[in-house]
Amino acid sequence: MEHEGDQMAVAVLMLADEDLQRAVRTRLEQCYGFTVHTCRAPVRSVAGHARFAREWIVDAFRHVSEFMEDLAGPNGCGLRNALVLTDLYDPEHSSLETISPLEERAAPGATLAALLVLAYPEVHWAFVTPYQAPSEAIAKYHFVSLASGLAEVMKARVAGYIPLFDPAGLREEFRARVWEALSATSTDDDRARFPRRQQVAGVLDEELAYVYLSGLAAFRCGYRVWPLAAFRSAKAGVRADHERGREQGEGERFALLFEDVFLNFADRPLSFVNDPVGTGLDPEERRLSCLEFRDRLLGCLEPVTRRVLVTIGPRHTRGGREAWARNRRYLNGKPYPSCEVYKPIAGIHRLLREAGIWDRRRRRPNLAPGFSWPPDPETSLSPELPSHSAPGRVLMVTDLLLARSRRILSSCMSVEDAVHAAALAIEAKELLCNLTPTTALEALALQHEAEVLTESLFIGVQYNLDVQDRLREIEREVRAICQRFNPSGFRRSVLNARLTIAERLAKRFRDMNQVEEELACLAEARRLRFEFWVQERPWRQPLRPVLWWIAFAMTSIPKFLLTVAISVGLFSLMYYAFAQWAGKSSLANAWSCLAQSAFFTFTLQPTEEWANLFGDCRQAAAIWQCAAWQLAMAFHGAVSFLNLGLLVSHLYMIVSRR
Amino acid sequence: MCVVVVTRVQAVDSLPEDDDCRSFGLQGYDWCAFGNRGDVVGHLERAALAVIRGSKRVNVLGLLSEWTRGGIQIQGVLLHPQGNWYEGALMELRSRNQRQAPEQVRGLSTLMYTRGGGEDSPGYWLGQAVAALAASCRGQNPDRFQRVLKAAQDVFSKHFGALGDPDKVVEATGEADTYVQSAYSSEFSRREPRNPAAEALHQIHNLIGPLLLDLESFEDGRIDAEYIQRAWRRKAAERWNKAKELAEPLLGKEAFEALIRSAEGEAFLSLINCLNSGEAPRGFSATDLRAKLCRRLEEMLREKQSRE
Repeated sequence: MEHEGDQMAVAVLMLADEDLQRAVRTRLEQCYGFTVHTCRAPVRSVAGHARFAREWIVDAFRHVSEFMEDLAGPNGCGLRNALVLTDLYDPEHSSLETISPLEERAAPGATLAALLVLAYPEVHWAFVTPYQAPSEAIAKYHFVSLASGLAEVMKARVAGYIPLFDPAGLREEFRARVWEALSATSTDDDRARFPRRQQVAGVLDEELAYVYLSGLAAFRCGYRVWPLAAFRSAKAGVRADHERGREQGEGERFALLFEDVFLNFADRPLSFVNDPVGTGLDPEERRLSCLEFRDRLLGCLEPVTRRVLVTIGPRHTRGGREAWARNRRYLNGKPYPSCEVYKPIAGIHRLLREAGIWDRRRRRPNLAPGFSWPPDPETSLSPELPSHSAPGRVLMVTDLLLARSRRILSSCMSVEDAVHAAALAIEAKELLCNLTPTTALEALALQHEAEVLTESLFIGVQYNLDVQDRLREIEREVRAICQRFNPSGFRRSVLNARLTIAERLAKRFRDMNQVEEELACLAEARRLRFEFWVQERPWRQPLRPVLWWIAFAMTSIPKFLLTVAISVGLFSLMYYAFAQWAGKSSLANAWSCLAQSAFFTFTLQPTEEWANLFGDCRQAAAIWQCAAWQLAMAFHGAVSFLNLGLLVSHLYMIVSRR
Repeated sequence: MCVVVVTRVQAVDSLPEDDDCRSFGLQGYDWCAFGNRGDVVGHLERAALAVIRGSKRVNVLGLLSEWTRGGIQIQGVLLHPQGNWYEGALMELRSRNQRQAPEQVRGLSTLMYTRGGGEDSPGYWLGQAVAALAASCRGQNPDRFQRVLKAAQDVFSKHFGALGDPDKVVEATGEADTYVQSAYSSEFSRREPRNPAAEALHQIHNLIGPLLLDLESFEDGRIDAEYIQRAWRRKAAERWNKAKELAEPLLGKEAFEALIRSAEGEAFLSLINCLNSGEAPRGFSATDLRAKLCRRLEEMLREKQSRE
């Protein structure tokens, strides 16, 4: 089993028929080497009556989820890629498309299965079901049919199927039912306001950490992602779905493809000298790093809408450069855009920028077509829903997702774990659709914590990370969520949430020794804290510029030096004005004023001729001028003192961290 | 005098109308419905009212303790072993007696999944037991109930092996005079499916699927002949007959027979005979059967499913 190295293959059986359960268990244990657990939901007694069905679903969901959480283990990762076989059938339903996690009136068994699929996205769900699959991919990867038995599903697993990013679209089927229940009308316009993952991305890389990282980048932009981390999955894994898409013209193709150039899958043939698919290319071109050969060999990569090569760049040999140029020519001849992103990458946001999935004007990633995020607060919701709350069952699911995400983060050791935690948080955030704002904010915070942990843990990501894009994104999303709070508390809740998230990110960065990133988060937190402090009492409003000044100067050493330079410049203007007022033309020139301003800034005392600018201050005629002059110097002294304090703070931060 | 009915709404919805109730001798008695939670009690109230039309009184009680505390003379208990509350009821019975009876719970849980019709089915014996119990309560035929109960027990043990012994459960309840252990037929338990072909396909998968899986494991050398013998002796034919009962009316006799008369169909039937007699199957390929017979059967049922 080529699943994440040392992770033991775990299967859970939740089948009603005992003989089937026994036979499947025997097969999985003895043939495929699984550790098999069985779980039985409380037996249905109340189907057909809405109220009792509702209660049964909640009870059964809790019962099963307790079992599953035990299996997930203390670090929460135990269920990643676990296989769960369960029945998906109810006499009340004639097809999969009618099964909704929010179903009220019928079919609690099927509804329970739908809820579990949403609550455990990392699990490979396989259903014993008579329903026809809505797509070839779901049939192949998630349905156990009478004709194929376990063979198809097991073939998919052996090829390294990773369900976390919902490649086949199983979760999307049930999410679509949730959006239908949430939307006020069933019009397409209304449904388009929900985060529907209609586009598919692929990640082709033999390094699992890159697969997970690039997969996460695409997933957070609204793509379903096929992680292609084995030659078998790259060659055959998605073909069925692809061909179906082609035939039906559904556009089910890779809308985005991240791929490494040099691929050394463990299960690849040693060489392609025999030209296995009859490409007709020269022998030296028959290698996976030759994109033309790769496309013909694998067959599933094209058509594609955007192609991104995440690579170390060309080899520093003549042959390497030529191969690179050949690939470039090949891609230039294609109708779709393509680009290269060189490893190491500077985090998820920079990856998206360099991959051209970035809206420069709005300074945010371009989302997949059909994927709307954050949801428009004006979206008309079903009148049956309370205006600010997600349905209880959705909340039940998201609570589980977030609890597991938190558990994973608490003992996260690898990129895969961190991406797992991030994906769970993203899933929860989207299911909530910004309803139930407090939980939605928690989901957002966890997502970003997990993402920064991913970036920090991954040695393939460069040391200095891009934090500003992340902070901007947090602000945008927090604003969208807080629209659900009382309008009078909107600004306060936005600040509160941003502050909490920034501090949590700073802590994550501190734990990972990412000093610059931590400082950037602390600077953001400081600015927000000042803002928060000003908002609390109206009389603090005049202090806003000073606080802004401090916050700006504390952001970084260069910004601090800039503030000092600006203060010197501004005070030189002040000195010029006073020199003019005193009628001393010898002092009223730029250099003299600038020199005095700088001298005072760094020594906190004026030169002799500037000290006596207005002569004897005891004379009645000059008394007001003297008072104004001394006040101005006192103010300059205060600012200089403040700058000195800021310098000490900076030095302390540097010394204490390194 | 009182008979306690523990049942569930689907059963009630499809239980006999008044006339049949009369024929069962259920009328004219006080009844209690029993559940382990408030909602179930409400549920049962509706059930009991719906079923026992014309009976003198319906008492709906929640916990077993209420049941006996109410001073009701328990004459008989009909415990209908389906439903999550049912497990709760057994828990209650166990806790009252300060003893554990896991084997009974396990046995009865197994019964919950038992379905079927005809004389061999638990559903049939449920009907018999109801009538017998009522008659017994009425004093008309005190021996009949015991005979029916014994017969039901024999049927259960024959078909389902070592399941919960009703007498032990009677002993465990302490209070109840009689315990009729029963499961009931699919006709009683289920609503009419929206799509009979989908229903049939699911059932057939459950019936044949395990058999094929075991065969695949046998072919791979993962399980031995003894395992096959233990697992499938006498059960293979029963499962095949049930699958046949489900598929034949849907696909049409001719189409179904054509399928069975095909080479794969004949191979499959030989396999069933082989497994049923407890012999290790030789010369059959589960992969072939899946690929040909099952694929064809599945396709036919799916066509039917889409038409509906």
